[in-house]
Amino acid sequence: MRMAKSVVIIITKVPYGHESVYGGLYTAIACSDRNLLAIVILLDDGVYSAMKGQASENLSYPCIEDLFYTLAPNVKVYVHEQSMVERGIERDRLIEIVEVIEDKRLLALLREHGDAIIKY
Amino acid sequence: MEIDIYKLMTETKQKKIETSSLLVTRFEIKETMPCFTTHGYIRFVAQADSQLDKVIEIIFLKSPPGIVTYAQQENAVTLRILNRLITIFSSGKIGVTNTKDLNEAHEILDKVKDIINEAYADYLKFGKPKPEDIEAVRKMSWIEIYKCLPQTNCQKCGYQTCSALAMTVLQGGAKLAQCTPLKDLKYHANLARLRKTLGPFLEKTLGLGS
Repeated sequence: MRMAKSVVIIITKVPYGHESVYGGLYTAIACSDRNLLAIVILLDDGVYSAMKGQASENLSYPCIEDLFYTLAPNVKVYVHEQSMVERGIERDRLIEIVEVIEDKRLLALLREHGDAIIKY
Repeated sequence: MEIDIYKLMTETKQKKIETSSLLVTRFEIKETMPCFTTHGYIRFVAQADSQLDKVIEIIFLKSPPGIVTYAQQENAVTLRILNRLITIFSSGKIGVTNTKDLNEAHEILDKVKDIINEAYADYLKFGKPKPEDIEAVRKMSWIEIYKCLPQTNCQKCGYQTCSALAMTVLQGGAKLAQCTPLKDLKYHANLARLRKTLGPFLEKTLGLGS
């Protein structure tokens, strides 16, 4: 059995209301700390997780926006462009550490690094 | 000889930075996550009380090239110092890995504050760095330093070879001033070339001396 060298974590859920995003980020850190190349892709409603100015204080839940910064510097975070467009989100509303990725590059990235793909 | 890189980067702190020229006065720790590299350790993110876009490039220029990474797209700089990775973002967010607990986190943030305020003092003095300065440091390798050294392997610096000194200097583990022959008239041209290669920020950081 071949061991995976990289892991792609796809997050498709909104940041609050369940633990999907938190779980995805936790997994990304665990993979990265164990020397696996970890890549996070925010797809569909997952793109909301990377929006600036999240006020989670009243939810008694960790601020997902801030948690993304704990991934630095080894985990790369991509936001799916088409998912942003469908939700009317522009780049300047997202935190600076994410990179917007279009379909063609997303496919290439999955082909290159998708040894293991985990969806949240 | 072991050199404290944090101390090296904040040398002028001893000269006392005026309070009016401080960019950051406080941090707030926002979130923590586990750090799986060391059992029980955390990684955390903190928010500075200022935007840091003015100092990111200067921190990059002031750091030994072997311990710093500059992400131009995100305008962020990552330092491998104090036995951990510290990433400073232009938004004022600071990401830190491998930290024992929140007490240590506050100690680390105090040191990060010094690094930022030192860089801000340089910003006030020299202004925004030129893109060519950034590019020069990006391309800096130990070979560029080695090319300017006497290449005699005289061992007066304490290292076996000139290349070993060049590599260690780049990591911040030795100072260029340890190469005493560089100050001989004979190597005047080498010294001039080295100063030109390094530029003013790196010259100071890599300990070339006057």
